[in-house]
Parts: sequence; C-alpha cells; structure tokens
Amino acid sequence: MEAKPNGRAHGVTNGVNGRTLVELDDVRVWFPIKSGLVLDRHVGDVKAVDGVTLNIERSETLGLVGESGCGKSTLGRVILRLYEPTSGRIVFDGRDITTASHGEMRLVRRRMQMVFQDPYASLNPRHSVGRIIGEPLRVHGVPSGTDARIRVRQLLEVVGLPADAASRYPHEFSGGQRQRIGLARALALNPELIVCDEPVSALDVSIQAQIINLMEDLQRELGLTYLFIAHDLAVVRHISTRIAVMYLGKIVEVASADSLYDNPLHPYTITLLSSIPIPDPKVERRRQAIRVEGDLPSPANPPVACRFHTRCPFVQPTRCADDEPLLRTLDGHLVACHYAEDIKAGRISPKASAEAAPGR
Amino acid sequence: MSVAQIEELALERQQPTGGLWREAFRRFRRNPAGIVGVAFVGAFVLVAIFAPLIAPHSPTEQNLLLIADGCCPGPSREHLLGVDELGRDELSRVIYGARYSLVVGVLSVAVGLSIGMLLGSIAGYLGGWADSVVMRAMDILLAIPSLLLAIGIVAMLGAGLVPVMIAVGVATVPIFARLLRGTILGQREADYVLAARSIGVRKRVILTSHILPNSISPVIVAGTLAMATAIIDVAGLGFLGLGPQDPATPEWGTMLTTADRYISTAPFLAFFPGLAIVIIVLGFNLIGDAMREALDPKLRRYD
Repeated sequence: MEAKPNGRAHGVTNGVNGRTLVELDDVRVWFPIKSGLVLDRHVGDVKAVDGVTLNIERSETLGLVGESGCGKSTLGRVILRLYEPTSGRIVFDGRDITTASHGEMRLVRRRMQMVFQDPYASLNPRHSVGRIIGEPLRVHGVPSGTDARIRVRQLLEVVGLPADAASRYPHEFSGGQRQRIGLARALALNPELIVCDEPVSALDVSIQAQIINLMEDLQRELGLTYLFIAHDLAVVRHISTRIAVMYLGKIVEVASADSLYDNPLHPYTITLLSSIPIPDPKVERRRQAIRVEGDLPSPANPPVACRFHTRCPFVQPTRCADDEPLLRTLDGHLVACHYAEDIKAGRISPKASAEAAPGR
Repeated sequence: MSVAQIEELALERQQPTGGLWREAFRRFRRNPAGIVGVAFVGAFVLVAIFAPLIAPHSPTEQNLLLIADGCCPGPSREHLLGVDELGRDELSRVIYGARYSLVVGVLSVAVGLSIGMLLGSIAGYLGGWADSVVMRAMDILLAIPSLLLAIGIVAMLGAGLVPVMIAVGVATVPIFARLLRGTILGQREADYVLAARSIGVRKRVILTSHILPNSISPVIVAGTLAMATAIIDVAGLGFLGLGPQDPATPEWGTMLTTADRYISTAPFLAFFPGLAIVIIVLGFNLIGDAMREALDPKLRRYD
C-alpha cells in the first residue's frame, strides 16, 4: 500500500474532497462451513470477500457493482463490522477499527450508518416510525427527551414524510415511504458514511428516481459519503463518482463512473456493460453481445489464479489459469487483468458466444 | 403531482391503524369462535373465583344419610347434580374443582413457558454450542412421551398437586423451547436486527425489544393451547392417583377416579366432571385457534 492516511487530526473538516474516509486493506471475510452432528468440524470456507483493497474518499459516492453472490453486500457490512473480518485492515477516518471492541465500535457507529435493500424487512414491524427513527438517538444518548421528538420530526421533514408519520407503524407505508424511513433512521446521528445496500432495487422504477434524487440532495446538503451497492448499472452510473466492480470476492476494476462506462478495461466489466440492453432495436441488433456463460462459481471453491478465467470470453491459454492478476493502474483505472492492454487494443477478440449466435 | 405527494395524501386520508398487537386484537374480536372460547374460559374463571358464593354446599361436607339406600341418589332439588359416594354435593365439588384446574393449568403452563422461553432464547440467539447442548437436551425430553415423563417426575417428587403442576410444566418445556428457537432463528438475521446492530443497540436490548416481540406470537398461541392439554394431563395424573393425596380434594381428575367404581349405578358422577373438563379445554382451544388467526398475518381474512 502506498500512502498511509495523512496523519492530520481527524474530525476537523467535512466535505473536503481528496481525503480518505474508509480504507480497506486486503480485507477477507470467510464464513466457515461446518458439518457434523455433535462436534462441528470445519470443512471449508465461503470466501465471500477475499482480499479487497479499496479506498472510499470523503464526500464521494463509490458505486459497488457485481452479480448477486459476489460478496458486495458482505463487503458493505464488514465496513460497519456487522461481520468480523477474517483478516486485513479496516481504517475509518484514520483509525484502525478492525479489532475495535464493542465499546469503541459504539462510538464509531455514530459516524457510519446503513440503508438496506428491503424496506419491508429492515423496519421492525412492532415499532412505531417515531421509535424506529429515534432509536439511534436513544442508543447514543443524544439528545434526550423532548429534543429527540423534535429531532425525529425534523428527520421526517428532511426525507419528505408528514410529521404525523411518527405515530404510525411501518405496515401503513408504501415501499418508497419505508425507504425514506430507513434513510431518516440512517441520518439521525449525522453520520459521515452511509453504506447503501441496494437501496432502490426493491422499489418500483418511478419510486427509484425519487429516492435516488433524495439521496443526492442529502449528500449535497450534509456532505455525506456513500458506498452505493447495486446491480443496476444505470442507477449506479447516475449516482456514483467512482465505481468498483467486484467479482467473486475480489475487486476487478475501479474507475471514475464515466470512464468505466466509456472505456471498460476488465473483461468482466466489458461483459457486464455489454449486457445492458440499448433502447434502440437497430443498434441492439447490430451490436455484438459479449456474454459471460454459466453461473458464478462457488465462492467456497473459487477458481485459482484469475477468478474470472472460467467464464472469461477473452481467456488466454497462458497465465490466466495459473497467475493471479493484481490490481494495477492503466488509463486511470485500477484493473486486475493480465491482458487488459491487448483487449483494449483489439488484439484479443472474444470467443463467439454460444448464446449470441442463434439470435441473429 | 409526484408519486410521493400522492402517497402522502393517501397516508393522510387513512386512519392510523395502531400497532400490530392492536390490529391483532381487532381481528380477534371479530372471530366468533374466539368469543365463544373467551366466554367459556371467562365463565370458568368467574366460577373459580366466586366458588364459595356460588356453591350451594361445602365441597367436602359428607352426608352419609343421603346414601343410606345405596350409591348414589341422582339429581334432586336439593342437590342439582346429585351426591357422590360419600354424600357430598356433586355440583359444589365441580364448582370448586374449577379452582384447581385453572390454577393448575395456568401455573404449569407458566412453569413450562418460562423455562422453555429462557432455553429457547438462549439456543436461538446465542447459537453455537449453547444451541447444541440445549436442543439435544430438549430432544431427549421430547423422546419420552409427555405423560410418562410427567409420571416419572411425580414419582420422583412424590404425589400431590404441586408436583403434578411441575411435572406437567416440565413436560411442555421442549415444545416452547423449540418453537421459540425456531422463530428466533428466523428473525435473528432479519434486516431490522442488522439495522439495530449497525446502530449499536446492545445485544440484550436487541433480543428483548426487537427479536422477542416478533417471535413471540406462535409461542402465545402454543401457550394457550398448552393450557388445555395441561388441564387434561393434570386430570389424567389425578385419575391415575398421582394427584392430590387427600381424596376429599374436589379435583376433576381425582373425582373421575372415584366415580369409576360407580360408573354403572351413578354415571352422572363421571359425566359432570368430564363435561367440565371438555368445556374448559374446548374454550382454551378456541381461544388458541382464534389467536393464531389474529396473530399470523398469513391467515388474515378480514383485510
């Protein structure tokens, strides 16, 4: 790793770009697979996150995309220490929180919050909305009593809900409104980082735009930093400053949002983008689709070396199966592929996809 | 007008419905079977509380003159349900018997529920080896037929009403422990629990204020239904002679045992305590079923 976080005192500035808020260094999250009736024998690990090094800059929105099962939600959760990292280092605002105790974590949790995918499952159905939004205030003891009630009303207003929503219960709200409640809860403690775990993928398209706009407004007003996890590429491009592409527990490419879309370098990114339908039948028909075949390999037994080589349409007989590509800088991207230059220059062409052929 | 505004208007127009408990109560009230159950159980509770005022005679006072002509005179104006083999007023005995059955049902279920919920919470929330140890112990208890288990416990503690209550209670422990563990396991990884953890809510508070309120409804239903089985089990143990050792105790099961000997000459002695048991058990079962329907959103019929 190159630069350590600059040793300045933290918490002085907010909204200043270019300062790293979260630093992940070779983070691994392995879930043990156990079997046996009485004594749980350890028979293997699901390598959900396997060696991720990634920075999140202050006030940016870092998009994190990948297929379901690639470990992107796990990565988001391990930042908040909802899962324990198996190895690696998590640094939040210059402070190593990898092994912070429960007590220490409570202090840090005020500054990082989470918004969940399913607005129905993420709100306790037995608590009133006021209690849900007020819970972070109660837990952290700021402010108490009537102040908390005023703060709850404020938060409801910020996310665009009527004040009388506080006395109602989650089941009385629509999906979009519930997601606003989740957002209000996340905002209650004025956090710096919000991990958004597919916050709009469970919503209707018309509601998605509302929530995205609200999130952008809030970011501008409050100087928030988002880690935006999603699989909808259009949404991610719209909201993100930078985008990280994840495949089977590893980051394969990181670039600024536009650059990633206009100039994808990693074969996986290329296939992902090529899977977006273009709303023009003529172009769509002429376009050569580059597809990945098969399913995501099991993260319990991932392919060796380059994890994508089993499905990569650009796979080469040399290196891909026995030499692990590391993230390196190319064209302002970070990319983990031995042949990125050759692919970009067109020296390597994709295998004809079995699926793509009969379509034409 | 944006969708958000339309939704906001819709929200304003609709009356707040209150919490899920309140809604469940509303559904319960609309279920006729539940009302009948409440009526049955309510009547028994009243009878049990006011037994001394309602009963025309003492339940233990013997009047051997009444059985001078053999056992046993049937219903008469003085003794509406007749008298038993020692000349005691059957009606008064059935009325006082309600006290025993209710106390026994409530207490034994309370014993089972509290131990079962404690073990179930530990197993479900802590998981790991605590889960293995607790659940294997519960499996062992479940492997023994509950009545047999209860007989074993009574044999260990000695016969009597209190040992019977404990025995019947312990026999129900695995039912509650298993049920609660299962529902807690389902809730433990729910997003709202993760949300609470990410906020920094303490573990104990997460269990008591987030997980338990969302896992408790099937346990409440099972508890009500267990009340019925407990009353039957206690009567059964009484019938086997393991109940109260004083034969004068007007416990329905014990009454059935003695009635057994006179079944051909005085069948009413078996009929009325039996009927009382049937009615109260039916009452608890009706309440339990109605609560299940009211609490389980998947069975909602009235929305």
